[in-house]
Amino acid sequence: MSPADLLSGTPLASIPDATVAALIAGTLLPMLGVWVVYQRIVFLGVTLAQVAAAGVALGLLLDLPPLPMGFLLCAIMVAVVARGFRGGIGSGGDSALGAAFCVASALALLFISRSPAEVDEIEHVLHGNLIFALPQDVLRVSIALVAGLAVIGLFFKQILFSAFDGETAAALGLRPRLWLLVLFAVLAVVLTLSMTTTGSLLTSALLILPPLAALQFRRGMKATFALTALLGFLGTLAGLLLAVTADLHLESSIVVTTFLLLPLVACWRLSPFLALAAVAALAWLAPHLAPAAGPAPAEQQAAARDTTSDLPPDIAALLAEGDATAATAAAAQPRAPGSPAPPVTPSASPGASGAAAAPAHHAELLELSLFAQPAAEPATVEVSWTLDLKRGTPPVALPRTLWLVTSGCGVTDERAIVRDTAQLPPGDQLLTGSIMLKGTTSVGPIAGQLWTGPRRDERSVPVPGAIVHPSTAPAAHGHP
Amino acid sequence: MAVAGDSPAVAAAAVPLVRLTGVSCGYERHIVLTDVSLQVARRHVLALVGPNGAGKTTLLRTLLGLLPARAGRIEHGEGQPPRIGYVPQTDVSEVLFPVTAIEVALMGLTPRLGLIRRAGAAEKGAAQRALERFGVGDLAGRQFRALSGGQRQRVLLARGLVGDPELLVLDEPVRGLDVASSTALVALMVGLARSHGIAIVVATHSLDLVANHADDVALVHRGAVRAGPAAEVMTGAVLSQFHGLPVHVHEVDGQRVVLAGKAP
Repeated sequence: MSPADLLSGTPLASIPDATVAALIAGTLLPMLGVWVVYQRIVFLGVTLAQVAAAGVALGLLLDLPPLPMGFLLCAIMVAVVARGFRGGIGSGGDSALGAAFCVASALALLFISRSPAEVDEIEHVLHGNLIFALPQDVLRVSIALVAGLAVIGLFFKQILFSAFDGETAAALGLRPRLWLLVLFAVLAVVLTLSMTTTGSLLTSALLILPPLAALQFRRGMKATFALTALLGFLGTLAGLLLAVTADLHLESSIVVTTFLLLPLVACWRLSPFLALAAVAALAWLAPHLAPAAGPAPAEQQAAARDTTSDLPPDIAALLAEGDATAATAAAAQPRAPGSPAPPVTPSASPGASGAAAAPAHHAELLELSLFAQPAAEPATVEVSWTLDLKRGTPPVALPRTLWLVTSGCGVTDERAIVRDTAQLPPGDQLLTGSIMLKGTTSVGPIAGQLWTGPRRDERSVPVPGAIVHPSTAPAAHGHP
Repeated sequence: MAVAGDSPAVAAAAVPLVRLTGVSCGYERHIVLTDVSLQVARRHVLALVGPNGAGKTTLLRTLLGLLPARAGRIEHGEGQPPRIGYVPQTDVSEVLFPVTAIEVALMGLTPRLGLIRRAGAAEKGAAQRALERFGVGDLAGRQFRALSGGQRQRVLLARGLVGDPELLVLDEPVRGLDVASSTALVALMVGLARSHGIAIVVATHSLDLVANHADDVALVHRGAVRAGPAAEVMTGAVLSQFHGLPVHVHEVDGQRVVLAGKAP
């Protein structure tokens, strides 16, 4: 049963993979955070996330695998920290972590500024984007968290003793630095892998806030772990519901609701009825936070999905089985070249905040054709694109950037194909290029859509009126 | 218990568990104590006495093997390092962790459990008995961080003893305890040393405790250690010279009381 089936009929049905990824991270990451909070190494967790980002950026700069580079830098960081660790990060350790945090942040920016990779690729790897989580993201986060917790569970007594009282542990023959190194290494790996899906803000929040809330119950270790997981799950679920109900940013909503766990638990300890009343009040308040007009993101996505009914059966099937978000590729509907641009339907419009990013009407003709074929590189499909831009009279301003979102062969990709339309020469243009979809061996149908910016940017919208000819099948499809 | 250069008769009588000969204690770039020679024997209580910052804890850490000897020789009299129980000062522990008293006591059995095995009923029973021995059995399920300083100290003592140690090292064990508790605790420790053949090394500021219960005393001061049987070291003359002020040792109802006078 897929996440979409599981959540069918619920408010979260429009973001199934994001929901599953968030709930898994929201339940398991806080259990790891118990160690971070109780050992007072919160800043280490935050710094590790930033060091991982710098490593990923370095990998992109040097055209090396980004995640292993993130691991490598984290490993170096962990080795240095573990060497100086004596049962707690003292003031000196905090200062060193602060310095590492600043340098890692600066290096990440410097590496990015010189990176040949596409901006959207960098952004995706560095900061993640929960709402566009794919099934493989869910799988990666789940495996990382379960494996990390399993390692810590296996060596629980050694890590606990080392964290609680490293000096006595060493006196009794244990190697506390080794066991703390294991803990830090697990943290580094899990944070690096989670960050690319849940983003650094949400990762840090889930690591810290639910354990802090659970701490107030003053229970034993096992009960604390169970309470932390439960509170993390509830806080994340509440955040998801808040986001879809009130049309709010997903990660930020979860951060806010997990933070609210702190006062709610304090209320619970005074009186469970008081806490339940507070929850009821917040639940009543949530829908009132929604903007007065314009559909919520979830509604947009659901509406956009509905447009797949207009698609040819093969593309509709492809979109149905692929990335749910890419299903917004209503523009995949083939049209005869030169046919009039379709009007922007209210259901596909982005809402009040996003509408300002693109003109409501378009005099230009933007016609994009896609063609997929196997690339020379293994497990890679090359998608060639041709953008036919015909100016209207009088010309109407184009969006500043044009982003191509493709989905097919189990891979979704998005990147800027025209950085600055103002730099284009006047008159009609025929632009071409190609992108490589990695991680797939078969060449299948590729659907596409033109956007005004990266999809995670709330101001971005599908370019109104753009026509996209998908690559349906390589054998039957000639290069445009 | 005996100290090199002192009381050869006592030295012959006791089998040393650990012997330090001409040892320098300290850190990579900072030697704290030089030419330390002493030994620790079963059934004996060795007290380390000295002002704050004199190097008592450094000497303890060297004895525990946490710091390598920078010079000299450390030998284990029975061929291998003894099983160690260690009771640090209570503020060493990271008390924010939500561990219960029995979970703390169980930590003392961690080396015995090996890499993977978890504590079973036998280990939990041993931990419970250790807590009861120190009068905190009824607090087994309580959060360690919720206990008073004295209760925490007793839990740490239980953890130190639960692993059936041959050498029990205590750092300020009676700090934070009231008079009745500290007296009972010291009596218990000395009784254990005598009945179970445990060697005890204790760092303390309590001169009364040392004068009445220690077999041997090591005075740690100004980078050097002066060690010997308690009867020879815990005298007014030695202590006055050591502390730089008049110190008197009186006997009241069979108990020795150490009184410090005014500084000259």
